Amino acid sequence: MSKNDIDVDSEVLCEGDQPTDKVIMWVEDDLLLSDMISRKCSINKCTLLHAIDADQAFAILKTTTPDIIILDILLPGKNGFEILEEIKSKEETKNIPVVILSNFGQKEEIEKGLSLGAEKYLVKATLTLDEILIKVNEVLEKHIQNSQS
Amino acid sequence: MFRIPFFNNFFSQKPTKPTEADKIFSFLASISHHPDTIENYLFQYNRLKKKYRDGNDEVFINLYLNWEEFIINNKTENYKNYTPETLREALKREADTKKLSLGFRLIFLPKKEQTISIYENFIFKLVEYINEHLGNATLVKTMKDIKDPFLSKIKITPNGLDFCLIDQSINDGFNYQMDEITKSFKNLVNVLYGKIELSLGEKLTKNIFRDIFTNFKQQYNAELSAVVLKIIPERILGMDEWLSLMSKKELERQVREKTEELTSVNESLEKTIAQRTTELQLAYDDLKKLDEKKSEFISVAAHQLRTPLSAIKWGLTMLKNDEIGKLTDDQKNFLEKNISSNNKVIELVNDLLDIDLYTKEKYDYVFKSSDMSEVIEDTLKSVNSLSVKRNIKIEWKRPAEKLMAEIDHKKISIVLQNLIDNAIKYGNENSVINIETRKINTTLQVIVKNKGIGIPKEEAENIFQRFFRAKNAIRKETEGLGVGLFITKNIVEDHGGRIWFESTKEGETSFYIELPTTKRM
Repeated sequence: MSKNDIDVDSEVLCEGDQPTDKVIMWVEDDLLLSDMISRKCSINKCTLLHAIDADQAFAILKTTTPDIIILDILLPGKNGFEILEEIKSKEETKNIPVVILSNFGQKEEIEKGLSLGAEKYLVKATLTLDEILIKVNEVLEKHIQNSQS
Repeated sequence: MFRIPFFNNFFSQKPTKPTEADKIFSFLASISHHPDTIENYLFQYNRLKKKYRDGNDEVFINLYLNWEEFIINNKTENYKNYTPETLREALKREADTKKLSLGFRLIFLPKKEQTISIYENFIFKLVEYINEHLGNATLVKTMKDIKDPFLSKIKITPNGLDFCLIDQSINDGFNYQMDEITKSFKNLVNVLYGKIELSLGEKLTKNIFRDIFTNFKQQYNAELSAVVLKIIPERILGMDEWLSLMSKKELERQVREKTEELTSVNESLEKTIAQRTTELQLAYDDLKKLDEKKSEFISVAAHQLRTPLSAIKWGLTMLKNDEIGKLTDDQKNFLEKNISSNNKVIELVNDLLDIDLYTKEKYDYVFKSSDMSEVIEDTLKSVNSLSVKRNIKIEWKRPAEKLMAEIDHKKISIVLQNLIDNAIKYGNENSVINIETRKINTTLQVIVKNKGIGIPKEEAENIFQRFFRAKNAIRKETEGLGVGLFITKNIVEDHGGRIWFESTKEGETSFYIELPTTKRM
């Protein structure tokens, strides 16, 4: 990862909790990655709402409010930044925490993602799924704490 | 012909035919505007004519040149604007200038012939001197020793030299280059001078030369006599003497000529520079575009590489963690090696992006006065979590005094992060990393010290090179392309600073960066 990737965790120690019994909406268009995500979520007893593009994502959000959204950037149709913007602009969805998980990891993209309201920006290739889920759990816990106080 | 009544008086006393000189001066009188001036010049003419009755019209040269200058600078009776050239052409139609004696005649010759005539005239006077004082035999011997084919056309007579063969060959249209002719005459002057010097000594000879030249100058105007200077060898007249012999007018003319030359050279230089600047700008723009394309390519390629690499990383890790099914220890061991190999490729892609980012941002530094302590603290906040894993402590005591320097905060932060990351990666477990700062005159030093594998002496030279990794570093850490220190060094140098290190056999390594407190680029 670029040394300029501020606020991005490049090396995570495999210690920490992963989310369980949570509803996660994961927007990812790659089939192999999606397959692994779905296996991982079922191991962790999380409910996975999988979407491959913006249309599917907003269709899900019409009926359900997930605990957290994990968002890829490069997608068919609308990209992750546009989806994030839309989520944050809608009253019903703006409070759902969003984590960006992409293979774009340059400074401008990270800054853009964070400025649009993402809680974290993670780079896929530098993390294992376990590490990603630990990070996601951290965001979830922080979010729960904030909404309680 | 005699259009002015009183002009008749000056010539009519003589019943003889008017001479060629008479014709010339009567024409000058006919076109001059000012009656007073005409009278004055004609008076002078008549006086000279009476004084020198031998028909030597060389005595009129100065009068002619003065009158000519007057006509050129003033209105004329026939409303023509003359230049010396057009006036002389007009006079050639009025009088047969070829019948004038040598000195006067040469005024009406074309430039090349005029120059040669002046050379000949000068040499003739020199030879006259030799003939008179050293004898004709010396002259004959001297001339025979000269092997120049051009000069061999000169005939030796009891009175001196006869140049008629040279004049004839030039009239016949032999194409001698003026440079060559000048060189030949200069050589002749040199030889003749040597002869006189041999018998009379240096000082006296110089004086004789000076006298001849001064005489010459009195006879012709400054411009014509200056021509002679071209064939007087430098050893005879030094630069100072040259200058003193030249008239003010001639000097001014030469200075003007040289100034014009310089101005035109200068102008063409400026044009060339402007043109080259434009060319460079275009080339720079092209390169910049190419560089942007390269960056785009790297970015896309890196992204495309990262997706399958992620899948491999995620998949292999899940496999190893028994999440797809139970594996034996042997199988897990085997997978571990694959994971590490995959991680290596991921790290390489990261390095590629890093170095591209560095080259992309090379030109947009933001230099601001910053406190180095702030930069260090910022960097320490985001330090590699590996330090925790390896139980390495980082010690730094913030000095009370502010350490101000004109730097790019973010870029220097990259430098420090690279140095600290390396110190952790290659440091011993449970060891301490020390960060120190020093202010020395107008520079700031930051030192990052660790205890670890050290840097072998034989590798020291290469450590800052791109894609270099020390042998012992490769054994220790398998990831990394070896661009960290390369980028670090470049950033430090972009600040006008320097970087170096000291490493002991015991593995104590200190990296020093030294930055100027004020930007010097």
